[in-house]
Amino acid sequence: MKARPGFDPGSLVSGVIIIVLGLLLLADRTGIVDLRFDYWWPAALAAVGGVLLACGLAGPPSGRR
Amino acid sequence: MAVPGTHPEPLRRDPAHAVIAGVCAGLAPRLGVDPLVLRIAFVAASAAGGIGLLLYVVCWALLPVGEGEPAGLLVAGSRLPRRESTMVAAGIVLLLIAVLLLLRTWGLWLSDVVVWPFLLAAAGGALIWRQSQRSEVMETPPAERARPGGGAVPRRTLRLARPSFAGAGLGTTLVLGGGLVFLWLTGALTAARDVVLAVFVVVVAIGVILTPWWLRLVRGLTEEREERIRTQERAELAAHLHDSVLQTLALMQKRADDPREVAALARRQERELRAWLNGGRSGEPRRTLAGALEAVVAEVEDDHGVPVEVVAVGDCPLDEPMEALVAAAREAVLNAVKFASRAPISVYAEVDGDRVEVFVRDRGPGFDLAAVPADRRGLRESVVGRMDRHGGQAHVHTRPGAGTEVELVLPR
Repeated sequence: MKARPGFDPGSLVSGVIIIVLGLLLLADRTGIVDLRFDYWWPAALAAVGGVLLACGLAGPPSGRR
Repeated sequence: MAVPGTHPEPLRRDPAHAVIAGVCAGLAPRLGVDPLVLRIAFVAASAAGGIGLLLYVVCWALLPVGEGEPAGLLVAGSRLPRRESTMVAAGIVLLLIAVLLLLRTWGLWLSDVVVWPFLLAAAGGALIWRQSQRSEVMETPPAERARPGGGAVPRRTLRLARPSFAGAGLGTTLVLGGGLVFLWLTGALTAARDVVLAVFVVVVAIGVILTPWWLRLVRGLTEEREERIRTQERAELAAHLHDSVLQTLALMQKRADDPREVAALARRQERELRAWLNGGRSGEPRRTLAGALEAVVAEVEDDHGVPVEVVAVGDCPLDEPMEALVAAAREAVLNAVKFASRAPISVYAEVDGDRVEVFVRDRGPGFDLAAVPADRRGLRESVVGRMDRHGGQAHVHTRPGAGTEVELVLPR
């Protein structure tokens, strides 16, 4: 994958995860899905873990040694 | 996901660093984390419904065997910097906990009493085991060996690297925490609760009693250490003054009938004092232009007893062209000493970004450059010719009665 100037894969994955979480919350709020409390802890941990994993695997920002 | 600008390496097993089949050792360098993190993840997932075991078997079957390249370490061996490796490891741990919580919700679970203590103890034990593998055989540093009693033969000692203590401490805490969680979940701590409470109260009381004494002790030790350092500095200063200035003054009293000798002694002492005040140590090999110029001027002063001022603005390493420049400057100083020994002589060096200039000036009688005989090769060959051969230039500005200035220019 060739990096474009200013493109940060870690930020992209983080954004996608936060958007998915927000959509899930919205769906729960509007009654489309019914999420139980038991699933929120794993979801939140998985979201944070996913963000960390993505940022870590994306490597340091360009210019940082 | 690949690091931008790099090609991802294919996933392979690494039997050379395997505990079972090399799956974790092969995956870890690709993820940029320690294989230990993946091993803990697989073990924990295996304890929760056997999914980890299944995943491991699948990876074992699907991944080809690598060529035995070294396995990644958390920091030193990984292809990611330390900060990113830590983030990846933390991400994997959080994802693992999320999976475990999901499995618990779905009922694919042995028991809280078993899984959580086991997970904590496994993580702590693995950390301790890895830190024990990181113990280093350290040799006595050369500086220590050089001290009296240091010994000429390198002394080999086994000791933990500094970060290992933190890792081992964390591992110990995790193991103890796992044990306590197990005891708590099984109710075994209930019986010991009164004893633990009593011990806690006693420890707090002892801490309150001893803290002021301990603080006073630490403060006293700090003051004593500072006083010892000041005393050592005073002793060092006194020893240096005795060995240099006082000795030179005594010599000057004995040679009071020889003004040139007295002047030479004073100049030498001045140089040593200046070098000492500037943090340098006289007698060290000179490896820079300014140092080399000072050294050759000192040599000329000692040989001829004529004072020469040296001023250097900027400095640069002493490579071959710079050595030629120093040699040319030395020849110019020698000429000044020969023909203008009673007039002030000075050397001014300036190092710019793209060139180096050295001026050797005296206020002697000067001379007619055109009248210098052809067989006098000192200025012509040792100064002008030498600078030409190394890509530099030398200009002599002089006329009778107006002193002499030799300008040496060398591009960098």
